[in-house]
Amino acid sequence: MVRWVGMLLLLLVLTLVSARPVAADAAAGTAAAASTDDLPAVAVPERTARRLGLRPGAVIEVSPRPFTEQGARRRFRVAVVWAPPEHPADVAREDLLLRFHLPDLESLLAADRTPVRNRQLARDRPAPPGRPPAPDRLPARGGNPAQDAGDGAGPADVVDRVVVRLRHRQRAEVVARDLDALVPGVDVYTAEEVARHVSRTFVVVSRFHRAIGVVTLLAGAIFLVTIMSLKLTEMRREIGALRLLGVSRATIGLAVLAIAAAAALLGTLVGMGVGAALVAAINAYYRPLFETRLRFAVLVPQTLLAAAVLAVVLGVGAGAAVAARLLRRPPLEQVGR
Amino acid sequence: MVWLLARRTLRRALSRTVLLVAGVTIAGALLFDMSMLGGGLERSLALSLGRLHYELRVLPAGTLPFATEATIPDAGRAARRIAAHPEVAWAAPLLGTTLYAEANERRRAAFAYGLTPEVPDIVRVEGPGRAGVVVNRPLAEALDLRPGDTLRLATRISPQTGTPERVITVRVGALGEFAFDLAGQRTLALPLADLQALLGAGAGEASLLLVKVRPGADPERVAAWIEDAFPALDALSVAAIVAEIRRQLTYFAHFATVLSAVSLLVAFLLIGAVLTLAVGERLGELAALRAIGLSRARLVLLILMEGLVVAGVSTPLALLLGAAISDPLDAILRSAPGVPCELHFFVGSPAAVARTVALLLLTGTLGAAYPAWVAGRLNVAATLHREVQ
Repeated sequence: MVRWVGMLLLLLVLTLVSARPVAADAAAGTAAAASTDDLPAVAVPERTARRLGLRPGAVIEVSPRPFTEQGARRRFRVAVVWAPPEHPADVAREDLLLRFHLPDLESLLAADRTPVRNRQLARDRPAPPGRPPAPDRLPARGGNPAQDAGDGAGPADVVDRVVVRLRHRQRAEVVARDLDALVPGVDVYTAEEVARHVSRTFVVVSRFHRAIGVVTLLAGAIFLVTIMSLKLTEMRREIGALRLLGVSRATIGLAVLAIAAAAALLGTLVGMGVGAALVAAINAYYRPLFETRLRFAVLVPQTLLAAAVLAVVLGVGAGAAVAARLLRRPPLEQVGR
Repeated sequence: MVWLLARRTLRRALSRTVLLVAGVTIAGALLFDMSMLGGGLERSLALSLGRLHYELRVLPAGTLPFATEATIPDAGRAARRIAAHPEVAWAAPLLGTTLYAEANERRRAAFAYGLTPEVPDIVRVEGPGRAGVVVNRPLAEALDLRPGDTLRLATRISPQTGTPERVITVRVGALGEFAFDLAGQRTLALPLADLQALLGAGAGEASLLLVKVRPGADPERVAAWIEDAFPALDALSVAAIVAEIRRQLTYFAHFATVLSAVSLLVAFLLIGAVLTLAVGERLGELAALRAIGLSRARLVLLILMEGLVVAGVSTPLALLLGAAISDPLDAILRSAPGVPCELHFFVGSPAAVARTVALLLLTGTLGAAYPAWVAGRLNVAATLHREVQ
């Protein structure tokens, strides 16, 4: 039914003096090539490598405990520095990450007798001072191997989760249900469920942005209507003169609407330019600040279209209202006589 | 005289004034909301932390409370050593972890606190408490629990059989409310020693230590001493915790700054544009005022006053509207996962009100600066001549 890929990737939060999960220390320079080739390999994400000053071939010493305490220590060779896919939830976090081969990490923790605790979904860490929410379903877990394997034993064959690749991706939900029933004590999530889970914060932020957008649009709409009213009121003498010359109300009304639409459209174009400049400025500021390739602001065609339509509709609406009012008045009154 | 003229002018073009005030009101409301949002969560967090009657939280270095699985080994001994400091009233370990809770043939995951008797405020017990664990309402409702019921707690579920392993049976003593609970979070509290035994944790292992300093003592000095004495630990005061999470709140601070600037720009342009057009319509009237003896300075003051009046009328409306729309905006943000129920993003304060009032009045006056300059440069004779043509 399924093919186990057998590759489990554990992300370890590296706070240099934290007792859990591990502490790492970059060994001075790179040790002699002959000896380092025999060291177990570790992969380092770009951001971590930058902060620790690591390059491929560098040697780091890793311990599950702070270096101020007694604990197992092991040297690892940085095999690769790579750019992992970034997630917005991790942008503001300053965690340092290392990626080990599973047996290497197991043996390090076993040597240290580090107990394994209940864990939450890796991406569901709440912002302090919150804590893991208690979901109805916890991710797959091991137990406390210190008890499983007898006193003094470290973690043996215990993992946080297992990743499964399917032959037929579209059957993910069916397979998840089957596995749920098949393996008691673990919960099975499809990739879509995990994506939904980790995106909840951003859904909320999007809703907040939309709400703020409505308020901003309201202010903009009033601005537009006020300016359009003023502008057309200013034209009352010209309108009066045109009517005295025999130009029909309909022609003048259409001309007024055209002026209103043109002004609104011109304003929209300028606004789009300002918006694009702001988007560029926001990305230029935040991307280096958070050391990420993610874009913080994006200008999409839908936004541009909505802004243009809204501006033209409001502008023309305001123009129509003012034109109707002006055209009702006698021409002589309009020219001030 | 100038004040009277300014009011009369605005009243004369009532529909325009109403539109102008409406625009400035909405921009002002947005400004007020952004004043509440910028630093609001920090203020809310500081208030909530301040309500707990201990000043310091001692954690494994580089971590924040419950943000990682890091624990303090031999925390009991560390707590006793800290409590012996002359400026410390008490120090107590606290352990937090997720357990499985089972009762009435239902099973749910719940966050468990291991507490010692001296720790106040983490949980507020509802009604008369009996001996036993304290559970919060969501957990009680999920498992249909009442005081006196028995509850099975387990650290793990067997992958082979699906049954709980390492189980203890406890009695529900009372229902309670926990500080910093997330919306819908199921929480319980039990004695620290029981939770340590259930987890098989090492002697005295804890997630953090809570430290109460004596009245008059400086928490920062005690924190510095703790960090000197225990190099593997961080001692965080309320201010330090707020500072630690400030970076994570950068988004809100910057968002508030950008939107404040946008709302001020809208108000500035609106007042400036409307008054400029209005001055253009009233050149003859303004020239006549100059001709009958109104000084240039007073004419400039008249236009500036019009801007100030618009801002002044809009300000209370802006504050009311801002306060009204801050609640739904706050509710949207608080629906995000991982936000404790008692925290708010939009927090009103006298400073936020003062900032909004000052900025709106200043913007109103500055918005009127250009039309005032136009009015000040008016050539009386030429303008009057043009007006009577």
